[in-house]
Amino acid sequence: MNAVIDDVIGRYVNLKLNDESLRIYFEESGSGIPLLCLHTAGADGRQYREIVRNKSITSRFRVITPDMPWHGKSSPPTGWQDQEYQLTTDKYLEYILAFMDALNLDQPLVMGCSIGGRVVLHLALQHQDKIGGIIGLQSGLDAGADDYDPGNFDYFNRHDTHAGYSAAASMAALIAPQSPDDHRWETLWHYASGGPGVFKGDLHYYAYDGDLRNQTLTIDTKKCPVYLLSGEYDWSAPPSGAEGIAQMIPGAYFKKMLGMGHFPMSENPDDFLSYLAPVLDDYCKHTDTRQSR
Amino acid sequence: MDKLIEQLNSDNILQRLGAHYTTQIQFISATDGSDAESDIEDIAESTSTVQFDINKGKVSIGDIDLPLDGFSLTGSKDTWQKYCAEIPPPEFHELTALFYMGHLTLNGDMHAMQSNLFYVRRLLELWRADQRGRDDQRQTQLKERGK
Repeated sequence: MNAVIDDVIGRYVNLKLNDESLRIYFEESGSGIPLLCLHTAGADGRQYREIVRNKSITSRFRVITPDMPWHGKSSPPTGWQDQEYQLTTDKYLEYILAFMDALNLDQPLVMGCSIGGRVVLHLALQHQDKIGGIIGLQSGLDAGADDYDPGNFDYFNRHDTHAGYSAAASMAALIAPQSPDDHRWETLWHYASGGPGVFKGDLHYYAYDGDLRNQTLTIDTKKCPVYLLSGEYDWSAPPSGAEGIAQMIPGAYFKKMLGMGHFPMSENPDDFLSYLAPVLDDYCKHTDTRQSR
Repeated sequence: MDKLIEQLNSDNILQRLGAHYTTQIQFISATDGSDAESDIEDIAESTSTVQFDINKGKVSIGDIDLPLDGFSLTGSKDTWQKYCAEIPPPEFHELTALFYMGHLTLNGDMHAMQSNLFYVRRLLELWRADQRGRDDQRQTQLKERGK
């Protein structure tokens, strides 16, 4: 038998946020600069499974991968059965800030993908003083809400449809053909195993409430570096969108990732790491410069 | 076409996914009608329609002259060819990508597709593999003719 136990540890933090009691699961590994990793809609922190156990990263960063409330091993609030889950910008930011407070994360570098790639922009716009920098994966200002038929999302909520299969089969189309099969299917498993109505609830933020098109992107990248990485096979949050954002924020970094789709850290971790490494190197230089002042 | 149908019906994954699935699916090349006599086995190469009748996962060729009880997927020849490429370009690599990016039009019962999307996706992938095999055969034949 060849068994390998990861250095990664999983823990729960219990906290009160407004009237809700939240039990949030997170995994972490490493020490150094806090690197908070936010997953996509309808998934969980397992998407960062190869990042949180990568020694070239954990030797410099304390990597933390929470499951948002309602997702993965985090519990929904008490009374979930009597409400329809719907993520808003305010709730999303409240949750992230509460989690950062609970873990005493000082100026973390926050990396998020898809809805996470959007909310890091909200964080940098509204709470720049609380974070050290952002890495947006598959960031976009919007999700083409004008073209979306909200009824489409109802397919994930029909009792005569297997929501897990339906979500996973839909998300298969956001993965690049070059991605290795084992990581492709692991990524889709996360979608297949989501709670009822959760993916649809996240898409409310992605398609509607989190729309950033009418906001001026005033972010001081000297204080809060902005890195945007975007997979070429993503048609939901295409690289052109992230490139456009980078052009609106002086000093922002943008790189198109070839042969990758909407879930770079999960669908093709090895190739993703080759794009992430120079970003982390640059951020370390930035923090060294900031500390020496 | 018989060989493809045999492959579909002997694919364990497709049969497992379709154990409770009964519908009809048409693949249509957008320029259909101009060349009705062309070979419907090569939809990506010709202007044609092919219909798969699904009965609890089992596949047979359907009659396109009868009313459709299911859904159709209509794309241009260019779309189907890009989808069938060895490494398809972005937006053309997967069924839902084609559909959401407007390269493929869905007509008929959307629920019949969405509620069994893994089956439909698998069916299309097996059909694509068959198309790629035909393309390889064509390339080989062309090379042999050129000798």
